[in-house]
Amino acid sequence: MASGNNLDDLFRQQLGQHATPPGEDLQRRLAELAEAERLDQLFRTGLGSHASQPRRALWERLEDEHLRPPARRRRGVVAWWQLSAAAMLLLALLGCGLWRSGYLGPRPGLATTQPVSRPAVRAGVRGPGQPLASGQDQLLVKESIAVTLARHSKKNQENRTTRATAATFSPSSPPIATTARPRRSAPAPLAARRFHLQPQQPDAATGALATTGRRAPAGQPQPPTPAGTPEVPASRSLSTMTAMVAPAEIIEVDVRRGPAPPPRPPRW
Amino acid sequence: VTEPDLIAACLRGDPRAQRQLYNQFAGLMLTVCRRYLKRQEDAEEALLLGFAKVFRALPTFRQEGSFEGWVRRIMVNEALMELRRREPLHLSFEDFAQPENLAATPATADTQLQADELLALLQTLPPGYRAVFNLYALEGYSHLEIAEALGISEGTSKSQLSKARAMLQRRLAPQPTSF
Repeated sequence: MASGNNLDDLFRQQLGQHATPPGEDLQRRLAELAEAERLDQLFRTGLGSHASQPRRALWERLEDEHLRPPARRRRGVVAWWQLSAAAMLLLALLGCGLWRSGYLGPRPGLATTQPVSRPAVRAGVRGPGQPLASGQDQLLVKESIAVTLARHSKKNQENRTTRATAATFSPSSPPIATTARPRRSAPAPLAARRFHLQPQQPDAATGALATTGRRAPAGQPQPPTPAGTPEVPASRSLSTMTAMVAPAEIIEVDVRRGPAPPPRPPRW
Repeated sequence: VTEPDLIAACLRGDPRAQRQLYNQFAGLMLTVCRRYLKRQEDAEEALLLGFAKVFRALPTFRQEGSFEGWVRRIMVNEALMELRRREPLHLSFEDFAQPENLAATPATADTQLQADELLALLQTLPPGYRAVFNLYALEGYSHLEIAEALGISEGTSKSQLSKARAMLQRRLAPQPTSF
């Protein structure tokens, strides 16, 4: 046991404080490591906290290309929808205005110009007991008739040389004012339209009140004529209409004048 | 404004806060990008894309570590992607043996080197060496992380680091004066 302690003491005394000098290879490797560390440290301290100044345009590019574009696109879509809605509203207002002025659609008690084949013509028929139109409405009606006739006349003059007119009159029918649209002019018997003008209707060219007529089959009883209304010959009306409206286009104008409306009872 | 407040304002989409965040980190991060990319325009492109990613990924920042470290990591990744697009990394293997890459450049004493000179020195390295040296020496990545980031082996990473250091030391060595 004592010899074991002596052995330990021997090694402790000999090697405890002894410094072995590193070999050349180890020295070289340690030097390289120190040099590498020094190199790394040089770059770390020199560049670790260094700030370069970016160009000002870079932030603007970042905003334009990455930060704001989605919002801009959304705004663009919203503006597009707003524009579309505004355009639709404008068109609706325009259509409503034209409708109210009697230019596009039938107006009770006033004149309209409708294609013969449309059933909406019947909506414009005013019975003898219905009220008369006002003076302003009459003027509007006259203007709309004149504009329509002029337009159709111009169009049909262009088509007259190429298209045949199928407007014929039945000899058994009452006097009528008939024009046929070019697209409906194929068979003459089918294309023949018979219309009854109200006996009291003045000619549209005279500037008198005009209302929409109704297609009536032959033999159908005519509404009663109010007393005291000057009667316009149907033949005159027919000739005037056919002269103004080209034969290839059906323009129907019925002018009616009914009795004065009964006074409304006062509303309390 | 504290950093959490700034981040919260950026998360709300406040343009002033975004500008402030950009001003706070843009200069530092541009230097990071310039360490990896030779051309200034490429570094700025990486910075731009990096900031776009920062603002996009801001909701995922959990405020557990350093925000600057988080931003720096994004920038490093973006710079590496830009480096791959602009300077293919595989060139570094062939370029190492080229004599012009081994030529020493005159340099002043280490302590007198300015940041721009250090950047210029880094930019003389082949792209692969530059990337490995930056990642290891300046970012503190391990060789395993470098290997994953660059798609190379650990041995290649160690080898490229060693060669990059050798090139830099050679260029930093004082030129012998001739009388």
